[in-house]
Amino acid sequence: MALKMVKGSIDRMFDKNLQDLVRGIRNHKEDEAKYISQCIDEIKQELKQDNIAVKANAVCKLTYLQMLGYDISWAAFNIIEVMSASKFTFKRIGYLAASQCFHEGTDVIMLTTNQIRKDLSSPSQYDTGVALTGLSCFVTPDLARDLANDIMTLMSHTKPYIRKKAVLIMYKVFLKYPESLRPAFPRLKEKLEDPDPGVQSAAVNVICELARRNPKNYLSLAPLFFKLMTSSTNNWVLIKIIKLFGALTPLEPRLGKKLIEPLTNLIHSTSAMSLLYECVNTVIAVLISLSSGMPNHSASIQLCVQKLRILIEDSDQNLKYLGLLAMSKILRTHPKSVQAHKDLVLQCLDDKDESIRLRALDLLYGMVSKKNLMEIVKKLMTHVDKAEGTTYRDELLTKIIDICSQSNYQHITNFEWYISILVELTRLEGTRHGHLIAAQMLDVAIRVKAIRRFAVSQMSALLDSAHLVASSTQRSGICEVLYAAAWICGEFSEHLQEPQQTLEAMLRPKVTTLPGHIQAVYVQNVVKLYAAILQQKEQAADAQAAQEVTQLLVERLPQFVQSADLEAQERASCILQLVKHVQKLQARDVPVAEEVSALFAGELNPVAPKAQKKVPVPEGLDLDAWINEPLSDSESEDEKPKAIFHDEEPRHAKQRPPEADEQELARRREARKQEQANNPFYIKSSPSPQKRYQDAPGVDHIPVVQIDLSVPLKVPGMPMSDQYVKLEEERRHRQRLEKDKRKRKKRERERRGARRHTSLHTESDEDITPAQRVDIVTEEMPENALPSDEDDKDPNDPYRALDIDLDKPLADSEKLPVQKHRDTETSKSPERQDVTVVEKKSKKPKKKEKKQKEKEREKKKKKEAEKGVDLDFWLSTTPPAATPAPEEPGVNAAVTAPKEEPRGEEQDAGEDAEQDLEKKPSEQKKKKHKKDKGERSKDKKRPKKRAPPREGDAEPVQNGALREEPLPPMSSYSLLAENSYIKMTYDVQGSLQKDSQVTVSMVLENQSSSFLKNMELNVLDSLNARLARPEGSSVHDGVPVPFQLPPGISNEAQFVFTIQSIVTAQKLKGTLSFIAKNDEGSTHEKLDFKLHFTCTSYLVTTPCYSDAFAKLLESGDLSMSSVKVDGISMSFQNLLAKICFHHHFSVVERVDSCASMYSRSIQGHHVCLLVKKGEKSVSVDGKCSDSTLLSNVLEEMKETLAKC
Amino acid sequence: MLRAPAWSCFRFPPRRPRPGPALSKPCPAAPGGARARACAGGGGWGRIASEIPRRGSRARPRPGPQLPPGRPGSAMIKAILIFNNHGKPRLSKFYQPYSEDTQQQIIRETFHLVSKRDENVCNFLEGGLLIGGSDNKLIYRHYATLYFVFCVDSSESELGILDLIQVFVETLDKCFENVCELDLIFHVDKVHNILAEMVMGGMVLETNMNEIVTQIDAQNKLEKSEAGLAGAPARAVSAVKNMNLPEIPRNINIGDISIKVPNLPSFK
Repeated sequence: MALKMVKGSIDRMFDKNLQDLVRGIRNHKEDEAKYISQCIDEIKQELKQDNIAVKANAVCKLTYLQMLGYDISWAAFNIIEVMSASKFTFKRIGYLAASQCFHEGTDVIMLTTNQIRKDLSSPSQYDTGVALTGLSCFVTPDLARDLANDIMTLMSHTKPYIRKKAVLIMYKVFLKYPESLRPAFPRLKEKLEDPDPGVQSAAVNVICELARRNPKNYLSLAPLFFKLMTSSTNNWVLIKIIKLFGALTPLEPRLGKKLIEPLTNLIHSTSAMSLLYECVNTVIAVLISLSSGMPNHSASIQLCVQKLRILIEDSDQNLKYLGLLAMSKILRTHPKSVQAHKDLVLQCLDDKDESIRLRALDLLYGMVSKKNLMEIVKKLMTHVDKAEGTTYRDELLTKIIDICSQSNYQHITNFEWYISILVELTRLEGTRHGHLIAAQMLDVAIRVKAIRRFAVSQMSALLDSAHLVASSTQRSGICEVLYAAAWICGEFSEHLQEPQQTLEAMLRPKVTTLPGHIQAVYVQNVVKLYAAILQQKEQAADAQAAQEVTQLLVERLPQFVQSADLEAQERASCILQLVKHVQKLQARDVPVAEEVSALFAGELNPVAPKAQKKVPVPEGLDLDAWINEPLSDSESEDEKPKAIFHDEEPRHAKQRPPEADEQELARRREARKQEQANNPFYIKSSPSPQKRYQDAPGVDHIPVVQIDLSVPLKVPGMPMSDQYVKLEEERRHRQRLEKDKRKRKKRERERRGARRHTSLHTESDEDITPAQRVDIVTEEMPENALPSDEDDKDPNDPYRALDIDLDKPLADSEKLPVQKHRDTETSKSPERQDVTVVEKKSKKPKKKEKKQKEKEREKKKKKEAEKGVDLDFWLSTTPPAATPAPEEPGVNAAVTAPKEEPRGEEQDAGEDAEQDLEKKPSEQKKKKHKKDKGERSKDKKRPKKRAPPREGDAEPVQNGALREEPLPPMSSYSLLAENSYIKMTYDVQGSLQKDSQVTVSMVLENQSSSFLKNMELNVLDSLNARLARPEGSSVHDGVPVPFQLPPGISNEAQFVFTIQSIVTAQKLKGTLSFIAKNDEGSTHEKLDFKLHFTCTSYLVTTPCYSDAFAKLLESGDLSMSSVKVDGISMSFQNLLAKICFHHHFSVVERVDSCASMYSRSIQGHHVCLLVKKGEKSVSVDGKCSDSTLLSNVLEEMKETLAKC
Repeated sequence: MLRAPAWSCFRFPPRRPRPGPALSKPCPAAPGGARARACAGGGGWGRIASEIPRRGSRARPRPGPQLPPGRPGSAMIKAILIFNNHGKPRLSKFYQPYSEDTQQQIIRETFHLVSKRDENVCNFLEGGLLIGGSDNKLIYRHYATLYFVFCVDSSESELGILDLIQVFVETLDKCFENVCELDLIFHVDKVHNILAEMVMGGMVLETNMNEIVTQIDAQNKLEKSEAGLAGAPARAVSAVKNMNLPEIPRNINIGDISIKVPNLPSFK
């Protein structure tokens, strides 16, 4: 055997290994591909061999080739073979290859399920680790479903190395199998307080990522995270949490208020730039979410901006970049405070680093005002000229347009200037954004009536130079501009000075090289121009000239008739015939101008892109109903009517090139419209187009400032927008003088729309009168259009599936699937008992299920109400002290319990809450009462109906889980003590991680109408068991309960006890003292109790495999004992469930009415049971490494069974 | 002279110009493999390690509460790429499925984006078109002949990721003892294993270098013990094979290792 192995490896050593392969590839630089294909052939040979080492070597080489871009999916099966090797070395190679090339589409992936499961439960932590790592890369929904339970078990593994990996991979599992989120979440939450920092940060990582996607479901975790934030010293965890709060605050502004102080403190104190940066970011988010009402609001903003300025001024480019990034967030809500740093931003525009320039550009958006727009844009234009990369230049271009067009051209005072900027931009070569410029030109020309004359002259100049544009930029998008130019010239041809010349420009043969849709527009607008010229000529009675124009058209139009573009061709041939007809009429001296221009009578109004969608459907109209029942062999002709509707879309739609981001535009329009409605500057358009026409003449009597015609309309070779800057300055100067004069004369004259109260030297934006009176025509919407309520969420968003309410109690059906065998039912997990329950349940009639569902829904409602109260309570308390007192060791308030402020404030807070209640208007009070009532009734049920405390879900959040099954409701919580004020129930749990500690979860329920506070628990320690007290306190001191109880409320506190010996049960006497406060006053009360630590409570449910179990029994170092109980009528199934539940056992194997069970004590004693059920009796044989423990456990079990 | 770091918690050293001849000078095209390697050993294969300024050297008292060095965090890393100055991939790890062709395209695109940037610009880059789009960022560092590029989504702490890259490189340095590009070329599987201890499925798993090194060492030991008797001949052969190679970088580079790596202060 050994010989064979050695021989095998001798064979192997002559194979190429990875290093040889790499070396070979490097030696074959010239014919690399050939060499590699040779190697692949060799690898294929190697994969055919039986020796796993050879295979592993081959797979290792394949992984390298995959990196070079070779597809290795053909070897998927071999990879799986290597994954299943017994040696870690090979296994790792296999998993690495799988993680590199497997994906959801890999069909053999389903073969891996069992292998992975085996590896996950391997005794070697590295086998498990490598399987987890691999799985994280290629987990599929199927794998996630099948393995979720195994991974969840691993989350409580003894080794932190495995725990952290298991915690982390859960995120991937959730993504692929969202149903697993709710069952696994409690345990995940538990890991937030794991002793190992690695595991803790993994848990924070996962929860933060979950919360980032669906923040609203994680609001209830805010108190827990707040605690972590104020107590953690781990910067990474801090950053994560702070980022998470950034996502939560928009949902809960009160949270923001609570956060601001600790965050500002952190900003002041931390020296870690990364932390500082994240704090600033979150403070910004908080400030955004708080609309107003914070006294130190502006102080916080100032602080942020200040800190950011320090970052931006830093010589480190990375910090500069981040500073600008954060600044742009502030800009959105507090532009004023950012504007103060304009100098800095402008300086960054000149930075040599493109990333930084881009960020600075973003900021510019908010920096512009009427005053400085021209100056800033001028600066940008010089950048455009200098820019090297097209990406940056394109970015500049879009930014210029964004800046100018923002909030409905708010900052533009001179539209002539803007048009000339746009024209200048058309000289950019190779830009992708031709359509953007075109859209702007159209928008401005259509909506700013006063500018049309100027726009038309510029556009005709553009058309004239069309050959330039077209020839140099055929490949790019800039020719889109011609689309706009042609349309504007045609539509507003009445403003053209030399229509004939433009017409000729549009009919040049070169035009046919333009894209089809532009040609189509050319053709259409040629006719418009033609109509205008005809009219002009006929008025001048120049029949000769008119006929010449017609002749020109007849000659030139055929070039479009031959166009490859269908649209252009169709229009051209149609129009050609029309013109020919006109020619005939002209020959007979019939005046035709009127009729031709009647083709284009009426004005086009801009219509909002969504207008069609917004037309409300008339009542009673069902568009989906068949008019005629479809024929049986339905020929699926529904396509056709659709197409018709498309054609009928308003013509303007074509103005917008389809590439334009319609939604984005629409959004901007919406905003613009809104603004316009509130802006007294604008003449609002009336809803009906007819009325508009009557208004149109009104434009004329708006005093239009004389356009200085000394500006040549086009200065070739020289950027003309500069001229406007100078002109503008002069104009403003003139205006100022004028105003001065007026002021001196004390003649207060209200100028149209503009109010002037400011003095000369503090000239505000409002003071600059626009050069043109702007009538920005709004886009039309149909009357009574539907409010926009589109859900923009992407239905394919993978994170959407994770939008799951985590506070809802777990339903029985929500369990992770557990692998089952056909005949013998072996269990591999502590969930065993739950599964049996589920099986049982499914047999029940549906009616009951329905009922249960209803109940659950009710429960959920109540739960939500309660959740609200909890969070409210936490949020309404006064902000915490800057350095909150460290958490006492051993006392953990329940997770969602209303967290109180550190002692001292406690009383105040309580009183505050009461006063608050009283102050509230009665309506609210009523509501509150209702809630309370709901809770009370629920709370009464609660202790009995607790979910079994599996390791994972020990939190009170779970405690509403209903278990409606034939079993009598089981609860591990037993009554501790009760009086008229308070009722205490408790449960004891051990944990395998701490061998001498048990945690007592105590549910305290206020049964009175008094407010209970200052609760303190004290226990008379015994030699064997003692209560863990906060450091520094003596054995006689009590441990404060970290919450107060308003009437009817119950809450859970946890106390840790240190136990020396666990083999015998013991009792501890204790007292709970508290102050009960009601309207009459407050009284000191106390309640005595006896804590009973059974031996069972030291047992921890631990899964065990049948082979390990068999070995354990064989080992022979266990002592044995047995009990027998008669008169049991309960079914075996339920019996087992009961033992599992009450005594923390798990079923190892079950055959008929015989089952082996296993559990482990916190100090590592193995306890094995063999349970046999006879006719009416049950016998339990036990084996345990400690005989006293065994007999005690069996004794306790006997008691339980006797009750059955 | 080293500049004091700007963010002292994620103490991230600024790049330092390497002493000696310009390393970025491309090797003249060599006809034979042997020459190419020799050239590489002489200059082109600068040791990455010497590029790593040591943390200890710049320790300074920090104001405020003493915080432990941070763990950079991340939830979603989309891809981790290592390629050299010529765009040759040395490691590629994608946490989202892409076809092999797309992967190569992404590597090329990323290389083009990253390589044309100056040395003194910031380490963040808006994502390329192929991988992710606007939500994503490229965060990279350039060490000697290699680019380490992380493509991460917007939820990341940028400075944290920069530190993560640093931890990664330092870990490589510890595991390979003065890591250089050749180590990455010939032992890409080991690099993958190290990476797997740091980042899992696109999320940061561990950032404590000592912890990572411990786990890697333990795994190597396990591997050795598994090879046992049967592995001996293979090891011998591999040793013989390596003996024949004059180009083993460390032999050639010996003159270059003038900067002895000092012991790192533990950073937990």
